[in-house]
Amino acid sequence: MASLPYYPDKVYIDKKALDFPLTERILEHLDGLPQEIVASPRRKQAILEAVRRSEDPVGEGKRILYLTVQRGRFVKPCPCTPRVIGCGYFIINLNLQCPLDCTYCILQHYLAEPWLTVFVNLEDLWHELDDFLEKHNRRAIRIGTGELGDSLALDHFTGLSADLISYFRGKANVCFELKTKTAGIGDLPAVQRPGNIVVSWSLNAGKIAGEEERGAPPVIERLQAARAVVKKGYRVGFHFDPLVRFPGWEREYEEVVRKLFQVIPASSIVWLSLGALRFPPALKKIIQARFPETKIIYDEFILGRDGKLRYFRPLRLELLRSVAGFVKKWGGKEIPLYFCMEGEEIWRDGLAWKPRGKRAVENTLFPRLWGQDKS
Amino acid sequence: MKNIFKQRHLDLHELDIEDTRFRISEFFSSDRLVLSIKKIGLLHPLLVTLREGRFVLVSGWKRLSACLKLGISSAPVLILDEPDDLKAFLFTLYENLAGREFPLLEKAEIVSRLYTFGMARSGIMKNLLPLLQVPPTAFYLDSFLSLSKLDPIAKKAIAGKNLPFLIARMLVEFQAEDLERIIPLLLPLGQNKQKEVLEDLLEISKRKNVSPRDILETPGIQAILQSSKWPPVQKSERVRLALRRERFPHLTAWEESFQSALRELGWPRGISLEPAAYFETDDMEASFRFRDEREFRAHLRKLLEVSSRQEFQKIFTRPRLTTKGREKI
Repeated sequence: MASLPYYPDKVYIDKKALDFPLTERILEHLDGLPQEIVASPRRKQAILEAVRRSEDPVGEGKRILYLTVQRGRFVKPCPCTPRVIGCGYFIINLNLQCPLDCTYCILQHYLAEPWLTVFVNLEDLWHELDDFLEKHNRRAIRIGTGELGDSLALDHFTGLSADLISYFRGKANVCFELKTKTAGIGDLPAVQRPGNIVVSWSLNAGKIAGEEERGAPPVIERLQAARAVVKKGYRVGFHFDPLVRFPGWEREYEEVVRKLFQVIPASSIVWLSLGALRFPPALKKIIQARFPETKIIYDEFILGRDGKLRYFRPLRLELLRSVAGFVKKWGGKEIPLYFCMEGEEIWRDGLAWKPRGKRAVENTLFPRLWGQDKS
Repeated sequence: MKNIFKQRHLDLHELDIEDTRFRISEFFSSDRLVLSIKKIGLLHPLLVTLREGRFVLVSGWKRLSACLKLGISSAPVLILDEPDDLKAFLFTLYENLAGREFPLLEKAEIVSRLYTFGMARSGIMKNLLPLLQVPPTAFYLDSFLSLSKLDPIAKKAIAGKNLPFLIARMLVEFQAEDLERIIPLLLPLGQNKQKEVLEDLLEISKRKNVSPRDILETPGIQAILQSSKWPPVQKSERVRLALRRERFPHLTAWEESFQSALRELGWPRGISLEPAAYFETDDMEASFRFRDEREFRAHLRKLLEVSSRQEFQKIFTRPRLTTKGREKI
């Protein structure tokens, strides 16, 4: 059964967001849904308090769409986590929160406002991006929108992916990534040849996708969407993150990796990242309250140097090294692999490589994208 | 607040002491009050009200208990003419608020009574929790409501040992049958270790899908509990370590292997060697104190000597993961 696209129960429009073309476009698509103009900070606070007072503020927040204006910066370095090897990624905060409801999702804890926010002042974004890219015109930039929200989950009424692709297409030193768990690719325009736009999917073992990623389509639907995107001319990426230990994880992760390479030609894949399940202690309490049936938070977790709960190192290494091995076995050794939020010991023991900082990681991810592989 | 008080002397047999709707204190010692009443009599009348033709005690459970212990058959009472339970309860609450701090369980009973008598959650949070010096959030409201429903064995332990909110809140997660086994195990330990035992039991229970009492019934733990070799505090400590091993099988295997390597090597006294926290990195830290050059050189000589031995390599070797460990999840 195909997953239904998301629609909010109610749309709130910040008074300051009223006159923007993106607001008009979104409201046209959502015509018929209850809408309210939020005329004062006091009203916004009242809405926020009503959500916070509900039994499940996170779940309640997902039913609300809030259109507003980004007053801070859109573009930021990916926050990553302290004392690990980063990958030099930049994020665009154009929409916040996600309509999917994954057990492990950091956004349940990370964001101050529980609703789905879309910032509508696109002209400010383009200006900021112009300045940002000008400032960094001598380095290769990887940038994307999928860090604090799903890049495509709202695309059927925002149409933002087409705007972003149109902006980034042809920018020589930039690789733009749309990251999603959905299969909603209908609004992606076809492109002439593989370029600097990457569409990537978060993948997981079937058991985890089925039990812990509520609202997300099954893995096979994500792979079919990825295949369709490849046919449209894009290159694709995949993120096995979070990798989760459970009885039978080795078999299930190998199965999903095997399936991935059955469906997607390895040559279309620009990168593949692996990250083991990790979460701040405060998120554990939220998960316990919202998903009392889950067992994934009760494994052998220790408090890592970044203050997050992580699998004890050898368990994490076994997980990451095994899945990296499956990728090499079924997809070949040429696909650039990187670990998300891991220290040098895990890189060394898991990938037999100790990168000297994030620039070294960045450099491995670019040659393939531009067709400049050493081979 | 409209109210009429009438004062009179009441035969205590006329009080329906089975009706505890207004009672907030359950675990207390009335010895000092007994002495006081014996010496100077009952100065403050009990507060009662009429419900279905019977007198119900609103405030003064400790005084009543002391009177009954002294065989006093009648006492001065104030009769409150207030048919609404919530309003009547607020009398006892405000009367007590002025004079004393409420222990944890009494706060729980107050919150529970307010809720039962129909006060809205938002009203309790906004108006009453701050008076009880409790943060006005849903978390605390629900926690105190849960504490009021705790099994008597847990309530007795909380009151008797003055357990803090954090530990008491954790007890809510367990069923009465679990608490019967857990409470005796907890009481000899300090608060940090109590927290650790409760956390470990909950985590193992959720991971393995078994009840905490089943965990405590396993042969290894039963052997500790039934042994006559150790006093209660040592039994509790051994059970704590056994639970930690169960919850962190791989971490404890690494820790034990590291300690065993140090012992085998004869690591010098006065010099500490610590791996990184949870072995997250390969870093280790050796440290020692010295007062002069001679002591400093002596420590260096010991370090050089110990590092030249073949067994020194074992400090850097870690046990491999076992399938058994993985299957335990």
